[in-house]
Amino acid sequence: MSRKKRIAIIGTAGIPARYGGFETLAEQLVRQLGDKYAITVYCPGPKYTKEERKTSFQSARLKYLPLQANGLQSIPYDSLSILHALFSADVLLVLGVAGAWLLPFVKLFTRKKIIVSIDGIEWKRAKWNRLAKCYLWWAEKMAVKYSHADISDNESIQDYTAVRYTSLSHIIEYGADHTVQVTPTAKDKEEYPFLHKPYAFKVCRIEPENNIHLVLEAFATMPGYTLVMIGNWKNSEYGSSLYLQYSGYNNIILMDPVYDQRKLDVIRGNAYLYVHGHSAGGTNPSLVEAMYLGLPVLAFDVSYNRTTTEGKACYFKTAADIAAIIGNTRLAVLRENGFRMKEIAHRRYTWEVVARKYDELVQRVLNNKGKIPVTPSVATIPAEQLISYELAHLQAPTPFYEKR
Amino acid sequence: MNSMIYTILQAMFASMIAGGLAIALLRKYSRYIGLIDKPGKRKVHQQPVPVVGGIAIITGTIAGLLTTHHANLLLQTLPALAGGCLLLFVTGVSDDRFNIKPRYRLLLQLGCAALVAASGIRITSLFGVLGIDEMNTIGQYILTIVVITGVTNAFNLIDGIDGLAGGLAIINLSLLAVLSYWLQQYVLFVLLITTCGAVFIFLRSNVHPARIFMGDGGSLVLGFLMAVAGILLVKEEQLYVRREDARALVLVPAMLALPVFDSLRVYAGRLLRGGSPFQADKTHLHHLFLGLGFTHRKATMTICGIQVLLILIAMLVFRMMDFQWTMVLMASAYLLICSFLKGYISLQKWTQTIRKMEGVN
Repeated sequence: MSRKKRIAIIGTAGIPARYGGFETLAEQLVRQLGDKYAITVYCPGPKYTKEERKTSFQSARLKYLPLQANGLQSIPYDSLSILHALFSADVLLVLGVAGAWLLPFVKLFTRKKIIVSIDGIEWKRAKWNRLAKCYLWWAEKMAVKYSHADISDNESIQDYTAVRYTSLSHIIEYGADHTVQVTPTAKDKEEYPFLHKPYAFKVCRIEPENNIHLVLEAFATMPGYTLVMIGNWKNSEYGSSLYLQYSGYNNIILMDPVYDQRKLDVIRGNAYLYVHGHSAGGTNPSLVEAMYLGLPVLAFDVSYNRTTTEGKACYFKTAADIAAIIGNTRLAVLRENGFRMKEIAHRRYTWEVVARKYDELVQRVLNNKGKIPVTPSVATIPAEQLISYELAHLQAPTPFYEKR
Repeated sequence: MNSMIYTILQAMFASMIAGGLAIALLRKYSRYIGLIDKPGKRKVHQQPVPVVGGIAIITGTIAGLLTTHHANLLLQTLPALAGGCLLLFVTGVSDDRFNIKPRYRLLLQLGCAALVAASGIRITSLFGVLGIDEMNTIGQYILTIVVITGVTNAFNLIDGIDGLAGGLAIINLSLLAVLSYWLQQYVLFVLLITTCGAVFIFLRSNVHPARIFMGDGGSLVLGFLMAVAGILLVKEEQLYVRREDARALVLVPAMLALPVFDSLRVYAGRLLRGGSPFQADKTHLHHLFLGLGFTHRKATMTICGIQVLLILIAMLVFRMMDFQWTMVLMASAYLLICSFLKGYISLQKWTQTIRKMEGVN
């Protein structure tokens, strides 16, 4: 084994992670796999001041680009990172599909390996206009078709890519063990008085797809139950109007984003219920973090959330459902729910497990194994042969994504 | 100049009145004549609609020409054009009424195109496309016949939603009229203006929801007229104007680009899918817009908008590049718009599929 294989992580908003699933993922991969691989992470220059820009983090090299990682600039940001990485890495781990237009050329003209992580089904999101949706939809196609391996973070997304692209995505979720169970001190209770009594908790980006209006509506009708919600309220029309409408209620506490990990863990870890309204995006890091902390989960009833919680949490579709479940579920039942969530998270959602999966995927890609097709090999055996072996029942196997 | 204005006003007035009268009359009796378009599987409309627009337009045009004595002038100076238009008119109306076999219709179109080519109106040069300039006589004949027939058919195919063929015709005919005035082709000028008037009256009853259609009788004639007028103007311009100052050279292909590229794209698509290029399907540009949920009005206005945009782009680009690359650019712009539309339709279908998959498994 001569030198270490080099991995480039492209498409994140920089490490050390401050915000966001991809950033935490990048940081944790560096921590876990930094010994085995030589990792370079590309970061957006504008997000850091001159002093903050370190050239390395643990064992990983950091490269800065003078572009933002999100929004329209993500296209040149990702593209330039890919181009640079072609000269300095063996495997490119591209998070997000903004730079996917380059991938056909990379696959054609170079021998570098590409792993792409499709971040949920981006093109479906209401926040994009028609032009952006078209680009992302096409870019996703490019990403899956021209990468050596693609990653979905949820089984439901694997179903979608199987139907659309007839190739099998690898499922690698997120880890949650960077969160810590924190017992609140007296000082914490002073700063956050709601820690004295039980409260339900939700943290997320303030977007209509996260069904924040449903949760707020439900709690407005339940004055006996407290809700603490953290999010970027001021960033949008949707957020500011909800803030105005609901901040007056005594049992609803709306807070701006908390970036200190410890403070966030204090508030989150001591809730008696975690409400998760996301309706899109695969496996949400906020949900797995709540599960890891052993919080009982009340999630929006959509395939992704059911998959993440293995069907063992409570689910809602309307504001009335939320009120009904919270009002009628005994605390003991909720606590048991919390234990089940904790078990799932400790089994599936740790960075060690995730990093090992990435490691295996990198090795697989370096050994030139192609993509796994969705139709099983049995489908290629002619019918007469199957019948002659008395295996005719294997003729028309049900694909895994068709749920009965 | 004064007499010209007077002539135009007279011609347009006459054509509009005659056209309007024709529409009113024919609408009432179209059922007895048998000129009704019943809704069918691959048709877009739901009610039976009289297909008398073509007759109305021709009637209006002839009336306008007769009152200004330009009919005689036309027959003297451009007999092939007049004869071809009338012949195609008869063919088209017969096809609307009796459903003539496509091969006979094609034969007649080729015949009319040959007539025009024989009378001296030919495409004489490729102006640098593929490196070719002047061509020999046989080449000129073949190319002219192919182009005229192609444009005529392309225009016939684009008559798919309310107001579209009429709208494009008005844009093209008025632009051709301006060009013909500039190139001092006054007979052609009066003809085009008169036809504009007649088409305008027709359009008033053709916008969504349409009360009449123009049918093959209308679209074949208009397409033929635009093609021949265009070729004539480019040829005349070549004699008197330098290539760099040429306007007809770039504007004529630009205004014909949309219907022609659309038909070519549809034929290519059908061939690629393994079928015959003439089998009916819903892949034209207007079908794509309808598939996106556009109403007839919005789709027509958008397509006419794209037409104007292509013409403007061609005018702008021609200052910077030569003719060949201008054509390439317009073809690319058109194909880009189509892929965007097709992509968005596909995206919408997938959104539905995913919504189903996301509901509790």
